[in-house]
Amino acid sequence: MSRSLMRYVLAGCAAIAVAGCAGNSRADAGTYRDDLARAEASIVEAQQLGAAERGSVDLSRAREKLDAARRASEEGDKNGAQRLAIEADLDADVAAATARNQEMQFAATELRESIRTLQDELRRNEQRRLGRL
Amino acid sequence: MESRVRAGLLASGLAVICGCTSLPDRVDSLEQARAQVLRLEQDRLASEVAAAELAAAREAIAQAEDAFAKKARLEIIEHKAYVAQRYAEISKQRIREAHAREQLAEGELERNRILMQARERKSERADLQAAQPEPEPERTAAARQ
Repeated sequence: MSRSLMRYVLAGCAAIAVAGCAGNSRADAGTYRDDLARAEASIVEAQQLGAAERGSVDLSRAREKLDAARRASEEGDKNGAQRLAIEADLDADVAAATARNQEMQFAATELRESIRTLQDELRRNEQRRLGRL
Repeated sequence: MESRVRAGLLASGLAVICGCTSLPDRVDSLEQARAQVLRLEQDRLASEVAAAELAAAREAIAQAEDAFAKKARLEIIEHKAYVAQRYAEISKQRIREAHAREQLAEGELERNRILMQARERKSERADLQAAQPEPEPERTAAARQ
């Protein structure tokens, strides 16, 4: 193989490598930015469900990780930013699921208490009636 | 001189190899995720309300196991295990919520049953009272005279 042919081959390989890398970086950038956006939306959703008022540790963790993901992104660590954004998104989802569960548990407890109150009231009425006879 | 450089390079190479293979025998977070998913799958409501989340947890566990088998960085394996744990936690919350919803529905039925019983008793008492003739004060007074 002549030296000039070798140069062409190497130049072609380099061009392919550069194109490949450029494509990858765009794809990665899109993905990690999507993950950051998803984490932001999940945090807002968890807040709307009252996770902050309930002092959710998961929501605090999600916020901290989102901040860390943004810092990693600014420093050019796209993989780190993506991992942190994914974790922030999931932490916020846990906070939201916990808030929904707590609300349902609260409703179930309230209903149980109202049934107990109703039963007590009916029992007292019955005793009062029997006392009058 | 050359032999020193060779020895240095060899030592560096060994250090790199050791660094790459210095994974622990087991990754605790991965074990915990596995155990958590197995436990949650036993719940009768799991497939109804948390099928997607449990599938995502299983997928993350598989990815963590794959990364472990390929001797990936511990950071990557732990990230995948964390993802699995979080999906498992979401599943747990959804399953608990579903149980509470069931209790709520049963509670409402119970309350309606109690109210219905109370109404029936009241109506029975009213019927009994209506069936008993009330004493007529005028006639009894006349009879005494």
